[in-house]
Amino acid sequence: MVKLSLGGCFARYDGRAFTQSGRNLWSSQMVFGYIDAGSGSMVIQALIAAAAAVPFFFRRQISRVFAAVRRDDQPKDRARR
Amino acid sequence: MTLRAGVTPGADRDSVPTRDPASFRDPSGLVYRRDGTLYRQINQTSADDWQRLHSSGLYAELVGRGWLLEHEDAPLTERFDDLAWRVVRPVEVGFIGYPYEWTFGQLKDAALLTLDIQSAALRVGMQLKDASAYNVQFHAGRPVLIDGLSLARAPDDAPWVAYRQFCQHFLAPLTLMAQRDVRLGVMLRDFIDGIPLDLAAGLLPASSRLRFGLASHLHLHARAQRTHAGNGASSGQPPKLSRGRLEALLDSLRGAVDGLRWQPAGTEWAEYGETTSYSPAAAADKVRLVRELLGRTDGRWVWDLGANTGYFSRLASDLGRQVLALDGDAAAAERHYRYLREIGSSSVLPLVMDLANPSPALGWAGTERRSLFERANADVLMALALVHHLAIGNNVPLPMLSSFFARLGSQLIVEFVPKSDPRVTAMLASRQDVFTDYSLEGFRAAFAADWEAVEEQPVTDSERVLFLFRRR
Repeated sequence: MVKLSLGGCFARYDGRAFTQSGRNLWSSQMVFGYIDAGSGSMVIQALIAAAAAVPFFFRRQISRVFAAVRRDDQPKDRARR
Repeated sequence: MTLRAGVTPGADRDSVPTRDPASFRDPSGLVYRRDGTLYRQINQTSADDWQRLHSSGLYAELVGRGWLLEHEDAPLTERFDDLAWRVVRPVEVGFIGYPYEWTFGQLKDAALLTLDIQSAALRVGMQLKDASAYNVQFHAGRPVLIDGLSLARAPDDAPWVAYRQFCQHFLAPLTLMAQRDVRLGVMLRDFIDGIPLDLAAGLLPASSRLRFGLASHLHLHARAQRTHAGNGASSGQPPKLSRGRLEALLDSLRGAVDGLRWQPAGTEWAEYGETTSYSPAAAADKVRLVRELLGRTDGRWVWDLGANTGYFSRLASDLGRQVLALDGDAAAAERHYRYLREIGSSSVLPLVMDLANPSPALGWAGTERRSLFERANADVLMALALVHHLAIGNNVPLPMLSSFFARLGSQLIVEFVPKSDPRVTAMLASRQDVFTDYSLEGFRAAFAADWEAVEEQPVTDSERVLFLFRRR
């Protein structure tokens, strides 16, 4: 049994199937559409999203910092000109 | 072929609407024709989604960016049946092409468009409830979503219901084309709902597991599908996924798609334009003659059969024609598409099509995806340096070739290449010459059954001859 924790999303892989635990993982809302979303696809999507979220938010924060620095620099550049 | 409406048509109209044979899966509406005009019906069950699409500004944003096909409201009296809440008239796409006819670049651009639309929809609390590649068409040179009813309210913290479909319709075929063989794109012909992920994972090289995007969205995804197969309701409620994580998922998918590369080079036809055996004088004369003959034809649509990288397609386009450029070589068609995208052409649509095995009718009841012949809208056909490939390369008798062209269009510019031409000589070098009727006289006689010769022009400094025919 392997237990993965990806950004607060818990999943167990028992050699045959991914299973999930944690009360916050499950929604009581009806989310299915007219096409078969696939139960395996739903589970793996949540795991991949959790794994991808870490570098995604990290990159976003870095780009925000760079954008803020650029904004701070612009008035100075204009003043120099 | 169209299907008759199975229910009572709008009570206010006498004419019977005909349902588009591909429009039956989604119960939120349908596409149909009445008196030749294309309509889309929005059913009462989808009224909220349709209103939200417009009130949120998403429709205006997507249409403004050229991502969604525009429509105008139509009177409710034009409805298909009494389930109707609203009726619209969408802009018509000039030619419906299918994903199994697209080049690698076209499929990739359609995939990225789908992800961009899903991201834009998420920002206003909506989502693409399906991610079918068939909902994208190439219109005026760009991919565009044709089905506004695919956009629906996204429940809070719900996963993307179309994730599986996106991976099967886009990511799996693109990865197979980029990492295994570009010709595997034709698998989409057999797998009408996208390539099963277990099959794709099995065919992909082991190196595909080294990239996070492909390892997760294809390999792990295929494994999860297999292990959860048949779980259905027993697997409980779907997992909860915050909007931030959904954005991360889309970003990951975008990275996986964007990272797929394929260079269209090395095939015989991708390089053909540069290695053609015409002398400079013959090449120049052929261009002059084709331009003159095109000028003597009428109609809007030109089909360039065996278009290669599209030199003569652009000649027709420069004369103000809409062009469908068909070629069986995936590399040549891809190079053509990239060039058109670079110059921003809106009048030429390149597609991959083996004319010796053109797209058949496919899907439910054999009518869902129409054959090439059912989509024939050509006013003029161009078959330049093509006849010898079909007649000698594929053993198609000249009379059958003539009737094949006659099924597709009513005017024909065709080039006859004799056996003495170096290219035909090369084709016959390793086989028995069983083509006793393959001569200029035999060509004229074979085509006379279906076509009236309007003009016959020899190409200077070669033994090739150009004909302009009109269908009898």
